[in-house]
Amino acid sequence: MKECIILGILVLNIVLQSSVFPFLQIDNIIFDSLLTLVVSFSLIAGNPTGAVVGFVGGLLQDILFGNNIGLYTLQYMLIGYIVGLAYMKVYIDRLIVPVVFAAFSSILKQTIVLIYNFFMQIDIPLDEALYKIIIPELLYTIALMPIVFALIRNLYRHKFMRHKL
Amino acid sequence: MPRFFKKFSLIIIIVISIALVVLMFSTSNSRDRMTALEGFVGQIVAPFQRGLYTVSSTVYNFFSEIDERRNMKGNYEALKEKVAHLEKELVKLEELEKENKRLKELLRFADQNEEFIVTGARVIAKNPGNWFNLITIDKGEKDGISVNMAVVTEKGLVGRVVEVAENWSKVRTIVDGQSAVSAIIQRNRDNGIVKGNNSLVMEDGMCRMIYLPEDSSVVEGDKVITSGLGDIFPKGIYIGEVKEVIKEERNLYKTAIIEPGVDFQRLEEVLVVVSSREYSETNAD
Repeated sequence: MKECIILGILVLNIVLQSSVFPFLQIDNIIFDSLLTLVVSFSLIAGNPTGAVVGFVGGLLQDILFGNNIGLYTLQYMLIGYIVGLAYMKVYIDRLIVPVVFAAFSSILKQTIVLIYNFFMQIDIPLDEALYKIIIPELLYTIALMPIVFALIRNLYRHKFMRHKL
Repeated sequence: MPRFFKKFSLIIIIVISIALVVLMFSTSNSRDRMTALEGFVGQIVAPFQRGLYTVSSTVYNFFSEIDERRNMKGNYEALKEKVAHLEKELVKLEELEKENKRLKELLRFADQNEEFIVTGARVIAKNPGNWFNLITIDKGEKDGISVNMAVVTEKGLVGRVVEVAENWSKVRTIVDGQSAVSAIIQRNRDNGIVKGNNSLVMEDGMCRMIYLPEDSSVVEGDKVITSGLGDIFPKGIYIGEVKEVIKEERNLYKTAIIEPGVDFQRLEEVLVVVSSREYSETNAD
């Protein structure tokens, strides 16, 4: 049951990401809804849930929107795993905690992209990438992080979400 | 599974990461066809995407239309303001164009009358009334203006300077009742005095040329110019055209009604004849 719900959420997310969220663009930037989901699951359920959610969510994105298979999967799986390591070690009732983790995750994600670009010899000036993509996306994502986190927390109040993956 | 994952989590993640990196770079080259997995997942998700996209774009269009309508009033106000601003600019430009034309004509007059040394001045005030008998110009003593200097435009004689301040002067126009200009009929050289008409309480913008000889052959359409007598107005400045000739019963002179060449209602720039070479030569002799 729990697995189905998570998978449903991830599929719904991918559908929303390609249909509804483009209309919520601010200055051509879409917030990273998958990142907020992965961070939320990782902080609330820890590993392996976080890593698996990241892996599956990333894989879906790779399949549907990716240039290749693996980049999104690697990014979100690592985010899920690393944030999941903080499970039960941080006090998630404080709003700032998921926001800080989302910011950290966003930076990690963009760093992986920059490394990938470097190896693929995709030349994007760092300052331009910073001001036009990295910082705006980070700000937009952390702004919506508390909402997504609250939704997932509410979901975990239900009994069917309690058992470990 | 969780216990196994907990024990070997780091190793699992590293192994998967390496596998993903290899997969990533191996699939990075452009592919003509999707993999079977990609096609399968896409097939499942696509109908949902299409439906949701239709719904969300309808909602988006609805809200953006409301937003557009809300902005319409603001846009209308902004455009109205812009139009007003542009109209003002246009009027300013038209004014500049007209001024440019007038100044060019004045300049042409100055060039054609090389015997006059002139200085340009702007009319800054006219005394109230339908016809303007005294005008104020923006040049004064500082600019070399002095009393009795002739004031002209390219269309003819305006009047003479009657009062001079440091930066401005008053000019009595030829239509003023107190004005008297020694003049001649250009065609037959008959002498007379051109006086303003308002002494007749008839401010019709006309002048009268009095003291024309009884036997003068002056006719309607004759041109009247300054005679140069009296040392105020240089000789040869156009005054106006004869409109009517009146034979006064009780005296021995003829009177001609003159229409001045200058339009005193639309007087904006003038030339002050600072000195005349002809005069200078005469005085030197």
